[in-house]
Amino acid sequence: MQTPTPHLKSMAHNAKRLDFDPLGSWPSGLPGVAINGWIVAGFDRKLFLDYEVADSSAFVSLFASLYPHLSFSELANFYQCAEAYGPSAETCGPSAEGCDQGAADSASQVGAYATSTRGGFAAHAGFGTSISVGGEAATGAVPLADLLIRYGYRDFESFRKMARLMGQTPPDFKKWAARRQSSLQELAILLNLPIDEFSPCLAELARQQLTRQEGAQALELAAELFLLGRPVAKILSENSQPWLNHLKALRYPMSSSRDNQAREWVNEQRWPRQSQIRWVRQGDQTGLEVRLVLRQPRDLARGVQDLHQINEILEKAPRGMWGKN
Amino acid sequence: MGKKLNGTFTPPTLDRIFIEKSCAEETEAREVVDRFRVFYPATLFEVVEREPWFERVPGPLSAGEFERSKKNLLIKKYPGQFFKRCPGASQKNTITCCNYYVLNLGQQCNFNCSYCYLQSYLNAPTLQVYANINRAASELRQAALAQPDLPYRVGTGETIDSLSLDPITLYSRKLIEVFSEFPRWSLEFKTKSDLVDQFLDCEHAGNVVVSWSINPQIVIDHEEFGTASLAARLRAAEKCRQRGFPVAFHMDPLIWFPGWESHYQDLVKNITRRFGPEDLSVISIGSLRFQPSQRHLMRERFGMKESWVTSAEMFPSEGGKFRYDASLRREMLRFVLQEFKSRSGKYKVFFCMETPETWLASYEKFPMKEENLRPFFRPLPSPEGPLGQNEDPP
Ligand code: SF4
Repeated sequence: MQTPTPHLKSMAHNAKRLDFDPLGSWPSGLPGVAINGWIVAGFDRKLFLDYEVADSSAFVSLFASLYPHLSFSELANFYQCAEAYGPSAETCGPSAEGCDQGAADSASQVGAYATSTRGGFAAHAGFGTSISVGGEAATGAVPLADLLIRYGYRDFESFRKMARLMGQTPPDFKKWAARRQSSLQELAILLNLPIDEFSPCLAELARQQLTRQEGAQALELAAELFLLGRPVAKILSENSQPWLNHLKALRYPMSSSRDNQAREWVNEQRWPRQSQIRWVRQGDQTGLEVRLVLRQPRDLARGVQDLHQINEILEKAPRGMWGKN
Repeated sequence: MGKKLNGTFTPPTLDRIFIEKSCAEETEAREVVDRFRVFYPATLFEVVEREPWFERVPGPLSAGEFERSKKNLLIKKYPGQFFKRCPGASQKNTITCCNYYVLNLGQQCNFNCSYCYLQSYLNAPTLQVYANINRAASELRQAALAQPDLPYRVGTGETIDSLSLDPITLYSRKLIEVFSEFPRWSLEFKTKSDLVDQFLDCEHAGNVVVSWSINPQIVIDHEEFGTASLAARLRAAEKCRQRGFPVAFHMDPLIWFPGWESHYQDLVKNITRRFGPEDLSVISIGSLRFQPSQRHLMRERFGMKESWVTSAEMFPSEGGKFRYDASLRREMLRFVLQEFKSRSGKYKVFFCMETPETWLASYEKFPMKEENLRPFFRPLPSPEGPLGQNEDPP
C-alpha cells in the first residue's frame, strides 16, 4: 500500500489529540503526525504532518508503522483517549489534563453502542465510526476495532473492560505496566477488584523494582490477599523484607512457616566449610540444595567426606522438615 | 431404549434448549430431542441452523458466559471421534497412568464445582448433549470387536457428568447393552448425582462400574454446588450394588481445610462400614489440582473468602498444574490410604493423576508392583480403530 502524501500544517489548540502517553519520546526536530486530523504522535509539536487516508486499513498500517509494538497498557490508554471522543465527548471534550480524564463520562455511551451489537470484537468493525467527531465515517473515524486486531486483541469485550479499569489505576502503575509489557492476562485480576480501594497496592507495585514476572506474581498475590479480606495496610510492606517475600508469607502462611522453620534450622547447622547449603522452594517442591565445588580432582574425596558429614547432620533434622509423615 | 423414569427426578433448570436442525430431522436424534420435550415446556425449544453464539470470538469463556452455558442446552450431533485416551495417558512424565479411555457424550455439566476443570477447557457457550449415540455405539463395537479379550476400561464422565442428565437421555441403557456384548471390556459411569434408577433393571455383564466422586459433606456444601449429598450418593451406590453393578469411589479431589483429617477419617469410616473390599472395584484418591488458566474464572465465580479451593495455598507443579505443596499432598494421600488400609488391606486404592514421586513417597511402590492394582496399570496394546487415535487432552 502506498503511503499518501501528508500536508504539513499547524493544528488548532482544540485539534483531536489522541495523546495516549506512549513510551519513548518522539524524535526532536520532527513535526508531529496526524491521520485524518487525529493527532497520533509528537503531541507537543506545533507543526504536524497530516495524512489523509481513505480507509481503515490505511489508517491502521500508518499507525502501526509509527508504533510497531504497543503494550496493553499503552493501547488501553489509546482506547480511553479515543473513547473520550465518543458521541457525548464532542460537547464535553477531552479534559485539560489530557484524554485520561475525558474518557470516563462518554465511555458508557460508546460502550452501550458497542455492546448492543454482537459479542465478538470482529463484529465491531463499525465501532470506530461511532467515535468519529464531526466527520464522515470514511475519513473522520478512528478504526478502533481494526487497530486492536492489528495488535492481537480480538476479544473486544475483555479488552474494553480491562482498558476502562486501567484508566482508573494510578498513572505510575500504568507506566510500570507499559514498561514491563504486562499482558492483559497478567492484569486480568484487576477485573475482580475495586480499583480505588486497591490503588495503594498498585502504586506500591510501581515503586518496587520488580521484573515483569515478579510483578505479575506480586499483583496476583496482593490482589488475592485483598480479596481474602486483608486490609490494604497489611498488604503493603511493613517490614524490611522484600515486598514479594512479604506477600508470599501472607498469602501462603502454612507453607511459608514450614519453609521458614526449615530454613532457620538449616542456617543454624554447622555444615562442612566447602559446601553451600540452603533450603529452597521450586513450585510445589521444597528441599535442600547442596552445592560442593571441586576445584581439582583430588577435592572429590573431600567432597564425599563432606557429603557424609551432611548426611549425619540431616539425620538430626526435625521430622516435620520433610513433611509430616 | 425404553422408558425408565423415577417419579422423584427433577430435571435441571434450563433457560433455552437449542436443537441443531439436523437433529430435529433425523430419527435417531429426534428420539433424544423428544425425551427432552417430555421434561421441558415447548417455549424453551428452538431449532437452530448453527450453534448459538457462533459469532462469538473463539476463546475461553468469561465467567458470565460460563454460568450461562450451564443453562443453555444444545442438542447436536458430535462431528468428531467419540473415543479418546484419558488425559493422564499422554502425560507420562508427570502422571502415573491407569490405561483409561473416555467416551464423551456431551460437554459442560449442570452441576457447579468450584474446582471443575471444565473451567479451563470449554470454549463453547452451551451445555451440549450429543444426539448421535448410535455412532458412538458403533465406534465402540468396532474397537471392541478388534480386541474383545483385552480388558479396556472406558469412562463417560470426562467432559460431562455421566448420569446427571441420564434420566432424560437414557444413554446408560444403550451403553450397558453394548458392553454386555464385550464382557472383558468395562464401562464406568462417573457421577456426583444419585440418579441410577433409570438403568437398574438393565441386564448387564457385570462390567459396568458405577462410580462416585465423593468428599465429606462439608466439602460438598462448600465446593460442589447442585450435586447430590454424600448420603444420597452412598444410597445410590448401595442400590447399584444390590443389582450387581460394580461400584467405585473417587475421593478426588482431596481438599485441605482446617480439621480435614477428622472429616476424611469419618468419610472412610462411612464407606468402609457400608462397603467391603469385595464390593468396591476400586477407590481412587487424588489431591486438588487445576490449570493456571482457570484461576480467574474460579475467583470471579466463587470468590476467595468462601471457597477452600480458591483460597488454597497452591503452587505450580511439574506438568503445569497448580497443586498443594508436595509434602502436604503426600501427607493427605498417605493419611487417606492408611485409613483404608487400617480397615482392610484388601481395598484397591490408587492415586489418580499423581506424579510417580508421590506414588513412591506415599505408597512406597509403583502401582504395577501392587498385586491389587496391577490389572489397572498393565500396559495394553494400542487398540485398532478409533480408540487407537489419540487427541490432545484438555
Ligand atoms: S460434577 Fe464434575 S463436571 Fe460437573 S461441575 Fe463438578 S467437577 Fe465439573
